[in-house]
Amino acid sequence: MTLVEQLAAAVHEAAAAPLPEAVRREAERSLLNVLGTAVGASAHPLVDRLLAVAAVTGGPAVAPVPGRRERADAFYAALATGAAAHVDDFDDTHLATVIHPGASSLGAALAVGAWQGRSGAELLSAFALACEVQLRAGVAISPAHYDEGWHITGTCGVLGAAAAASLLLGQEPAASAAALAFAAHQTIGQREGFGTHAKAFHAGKAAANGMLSALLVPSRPVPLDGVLEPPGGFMGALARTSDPGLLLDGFGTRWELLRNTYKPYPCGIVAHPGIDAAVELAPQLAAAGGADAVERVEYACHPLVPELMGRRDPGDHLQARFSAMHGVAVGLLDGRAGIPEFGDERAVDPQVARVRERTAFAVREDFARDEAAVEVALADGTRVRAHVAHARGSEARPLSDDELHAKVRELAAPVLADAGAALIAAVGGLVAAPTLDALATAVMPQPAEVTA
Amino acid sequence: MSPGTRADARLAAFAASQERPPAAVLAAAERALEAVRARAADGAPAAAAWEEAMRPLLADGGLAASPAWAAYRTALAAELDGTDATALADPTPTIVAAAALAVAGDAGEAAVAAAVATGWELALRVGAVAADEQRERGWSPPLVNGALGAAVAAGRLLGCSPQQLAHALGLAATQAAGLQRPLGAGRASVAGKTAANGVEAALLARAGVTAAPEAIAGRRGLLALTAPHAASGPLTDALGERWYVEARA
Repeated sequence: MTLVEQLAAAVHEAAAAPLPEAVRREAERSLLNVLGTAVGASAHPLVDRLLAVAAVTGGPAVAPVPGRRERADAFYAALATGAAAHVDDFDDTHLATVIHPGASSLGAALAVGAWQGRSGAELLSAFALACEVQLRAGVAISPAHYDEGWHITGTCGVLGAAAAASLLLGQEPAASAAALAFAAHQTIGQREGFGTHAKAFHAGKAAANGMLSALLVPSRPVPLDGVLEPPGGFMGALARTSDPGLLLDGFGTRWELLRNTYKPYPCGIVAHPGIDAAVELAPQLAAAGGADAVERVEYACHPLVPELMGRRDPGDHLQARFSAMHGVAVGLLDGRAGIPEFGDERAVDPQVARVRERTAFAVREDFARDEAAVEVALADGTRVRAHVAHARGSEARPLSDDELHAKVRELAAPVLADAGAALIAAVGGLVAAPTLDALATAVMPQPAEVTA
Repeated sequence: MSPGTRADARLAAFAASQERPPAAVLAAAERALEAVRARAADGAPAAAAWEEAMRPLLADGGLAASPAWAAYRTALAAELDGTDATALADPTPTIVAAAALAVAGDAGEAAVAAAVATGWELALRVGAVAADEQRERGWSPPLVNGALGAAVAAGRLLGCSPQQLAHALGLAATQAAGLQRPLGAGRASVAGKTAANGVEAALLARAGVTAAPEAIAGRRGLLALTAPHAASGPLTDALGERWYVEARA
């Protein structure tokens, strides 16, 4: 059996049994988290533009797009949903690979699941396996792949999306193997596109390409030999060094999905401990007089922070996502760092810019990736300092269910009349739900109230 | 300005250029268009099964009614037509011409030929510096680079501004994919998808979707990722004066 056939067999074997309890729970948390970010970003201009193109070049609208009144065909629903879930950089991170697995998994699974009339348990299982397949592929080609400059969320996401779509289309393992082979030819994403719409587009198009790969398969035998393994296959083309054995090692018994983490702040995860420290210092700074009292900020951090998020002067919300200094500045000034604090207005605010201007990185080789310290020298000569050993939302300090629900409610409040209450309930009841109707209704905004 | 910026900006300016390509180049583009039309007609029966699989995603008019999927069908059918000895040798002109035909509308034959010539030339230039190393690493150069040409051809005919064309190139470059590994008839489908990606990139850019300005020759652009040792200098040598298309014709 070729590697891609072994992968398809492993996926089907795992899908045939109920998800293990811990996996089901983490799949629900991952799913709820990206449904929240997709709803929260549903009015983002990128989503408007993707759906405008869907109206020109897409087919009949059969699948929901969370947070939107209109539907789209399964391909463009997958694209718009996956892009929306990722566009605010508020979704999730598997730290070992830096894959954001939820967005493309949600895009493919929700679009195909709703279109095919699948049950809640089937959706949840396909979503979990979409995450697992892409995380496994990512582990096999890490760290070379991301280091070379690929956006691993798109390149590996397409494999996960193909697995989910194939399962939800009711395909046999042979067809799933062909779907995965097609998907290996439709990877997407350069890190060059970070800071533009392309980054979120990668997650969405990975979802769409995966679902299309599955759709195009029926009854067409294709050669499968060597399509995943190096040299020449997916792993060889996408990474100079890889370990194909990690793709299937313990598949179905050891789950990478259990290592998924959910972002408390809408930006790159390496900035999170610094933001935690800044938020902790905010009351002291406010008491000292706010931005005007800031003389200097020393931001002690892991070397990856300046490398990945070294931008000092973001010009808009997309660039702000790549400015750890911006996150620390708004953490200090606003005492929080949510969507509004990473928005266009705060990105160019003069007071925020003033604090960023006075901030310096102090790179600490001995710091862990989820560790940081922020020290503020105040105008009156005093210094305040906060050290964070493990960031909120890290593996060592995962978001609690309550924190996750609060995040989803805050994201949903501007979009859904019930602020996501039905969404949280629908995901909680998903495993027993015979249809996806409750979920689809929960993510659809109600028509504006008609007043007499 | 890094060399990457220069190369990408010059390629984008070339993509938007309204200067008329030399007659021999236009003639080559016209022959490519003619060949693709003919092969797509011959290959239509073989493509029907694929269209059937796509049916759930399509409006009543099928693939032809959607610009991106119309490009998919034309390139797919042309590549499935195995009767022509020249088919499959290099699918680049097929991918570019299929994208142009999908959005040609009532554009004149000269505008369509110029769009194909420009897109094809851009894809060939990237291939000229990158193809050997791309193949060595497992990539299929016409699939990896073909989407660039498809995006340019479609973007010109869709009336994209120069800035929108630059974004279309970026959106196509970031989708560079397609392996050398055999895929049977699936190869034709992936070629079709490459053409569709190009048309979609142009539609997205026209709608305001943005992409990296250095997506081809930048630090983490297409060349760095698929052919890291490629020299980006020759990409733009004598651009608009010397035409690789002419040598292929």
